[in-house]
Amino acid sequence: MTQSQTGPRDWAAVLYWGCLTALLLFIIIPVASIFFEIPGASVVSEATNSSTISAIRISLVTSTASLFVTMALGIPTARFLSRREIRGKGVIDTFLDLPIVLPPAVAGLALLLAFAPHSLIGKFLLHYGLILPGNIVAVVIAETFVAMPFFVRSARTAFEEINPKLEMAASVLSPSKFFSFRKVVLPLASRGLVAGCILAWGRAMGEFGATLLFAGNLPGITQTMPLAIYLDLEVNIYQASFVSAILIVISFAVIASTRWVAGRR
Amino acid sequence: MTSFGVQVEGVRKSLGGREVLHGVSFALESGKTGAIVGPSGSGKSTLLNVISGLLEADDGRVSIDGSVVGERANGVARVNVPPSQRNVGYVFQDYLLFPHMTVFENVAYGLRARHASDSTVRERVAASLEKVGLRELRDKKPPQISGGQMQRVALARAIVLEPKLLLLDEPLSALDRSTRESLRVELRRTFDELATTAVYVTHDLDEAFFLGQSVGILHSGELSFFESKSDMLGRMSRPTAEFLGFNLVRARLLGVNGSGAVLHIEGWDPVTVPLVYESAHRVGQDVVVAVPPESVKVSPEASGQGVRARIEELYEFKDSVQLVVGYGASRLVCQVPNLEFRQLSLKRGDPVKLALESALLLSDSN
Repeated sequence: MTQSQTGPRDWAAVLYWGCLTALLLFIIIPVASIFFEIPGASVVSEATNSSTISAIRISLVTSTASLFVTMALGIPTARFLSRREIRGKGVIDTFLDLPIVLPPAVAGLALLLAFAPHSLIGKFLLHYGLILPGNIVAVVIAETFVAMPFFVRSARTAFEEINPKLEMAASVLSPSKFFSFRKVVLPLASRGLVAGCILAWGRAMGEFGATLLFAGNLPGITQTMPLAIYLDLEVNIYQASFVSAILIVISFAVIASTRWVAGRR
Repeated sequence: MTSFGVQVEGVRKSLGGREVLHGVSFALESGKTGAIVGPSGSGKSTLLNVISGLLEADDGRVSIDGSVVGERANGVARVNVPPSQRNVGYVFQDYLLFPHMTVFENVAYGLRARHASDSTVRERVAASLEKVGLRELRDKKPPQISGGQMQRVALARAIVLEPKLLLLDEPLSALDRSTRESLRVELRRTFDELATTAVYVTHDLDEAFFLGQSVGILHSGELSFFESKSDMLGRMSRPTAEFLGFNLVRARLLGVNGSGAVLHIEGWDPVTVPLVYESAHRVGQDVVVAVPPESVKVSPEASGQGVRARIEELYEFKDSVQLVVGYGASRLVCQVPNLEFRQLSLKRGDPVKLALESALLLSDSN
């Protein structure tokens, strides 16, 4: 009797643990393979390789810059969409989500056609001496283009989950809407915002296709870590593995630290 | 000249295409507490939101402490002072404390928003928390304290800015009975100490009478009256009497003497009812009187005096027993204290005698 009652539960536990283990192994084995690929003796030489250092620097700078742009534009947008009912909201949502499903190559081509020197915007920028393709700014634009929707989605959900009556209470007490936003809305949405930052930053760090097509793969200028890995694969698998390992360590550290910060709130 | 702490004139408000307030008007003297009682959906919260400025009236005027803070006529806004500049303290039904802030920071919020110095913030927050008896909880966050304590924090947050008008939206409704009763007494004491004009809305009639110096009844967006408790009893109208659960009895006015109006109710001995206001009724005229359930005296048929009746329904409560008694084609609701009822040894179906101990002549009886 007891066995027949606990039996199905045991099977469920086996199933859950089995799936979890399979998923973890599915991630851990490929990740570990990269670390096993790096010969110990070459670590120092790879670490001091100027093109590796430059790719790490460009990746960190551009993904961080992209995150700032994403937050600066994304927070007000998400806030606006979370509280206002506007005509054509569905169409706006579709456009905002489009880069999530758009193949990166298509995104890169679209950006290239929109910002290349012969395009309308490109001509305007050229007037001020700025040619985007082949420029680090193009890397930031490409990364922002693909990463923005992840942040806006997450931030919008975070804002929507705040009890609107709390904002009402704040408006009776505070003459400044910005004060209420800073002291009440932002802290209450912080978990969702942090999650959005992780997603957007991670997406920007891993950006490959759009950057390749729009900004190009110029070492020291537009070559980010994924682009460096792509180039290294043909000539030096160890260097590709080393850069990949660094990317993994940075990603892991950022996710772990932001989760820790969010969990402390 | 009377100075009003708050004055509401002809306020109309529609929400979602439905008119929630139908031209509500009332005035409350400075420093007094007015309680507005009404069932759920009667427009109580909407009325407070309009007074506080969280909602703009479609029509009408709101003045606080003699200054017009909101006015709209024929669809045109003439005055609309933002909520934070109306100098009101608002205690919401579900407290709406900021969950990520400590009790101290919640109370300090309004002061910090107004760039008060740290020493002012410390002093005034401490004084407010002292007033509501919560000084020791200053470092706790809302999820760590009880509902009653949250209610007091909400009150401290509302009074720390020394508002000219305090608005309270059913602040006790989410609490258990015993906490509600003790906090009711505390609230009354706080109102007396602060001497701030306060508008308190509730669905609980007892709470309204206990806390309000003036009482109003809001039903389906219409305020049937708003006056002091003594005026209300003296100028009792039919809707008020019905809302208060009084029995309505037809009678004939036999005369007026020093004690009030002498009435003849069919089957009863003549009854004298108090008249606080001069009656416009003529001797010999048919009138309607309101009889509170507790003023209907019930006694066993054998020993009692009065009109013969029979107990048709009987409901037992914690403190009293409610009886529905029938005499002729009429019925009356009576309320008898529990212990007294036990001594009478009555049960459903028993014949009894009824007498009226007091009654009120309705001002609009015809």
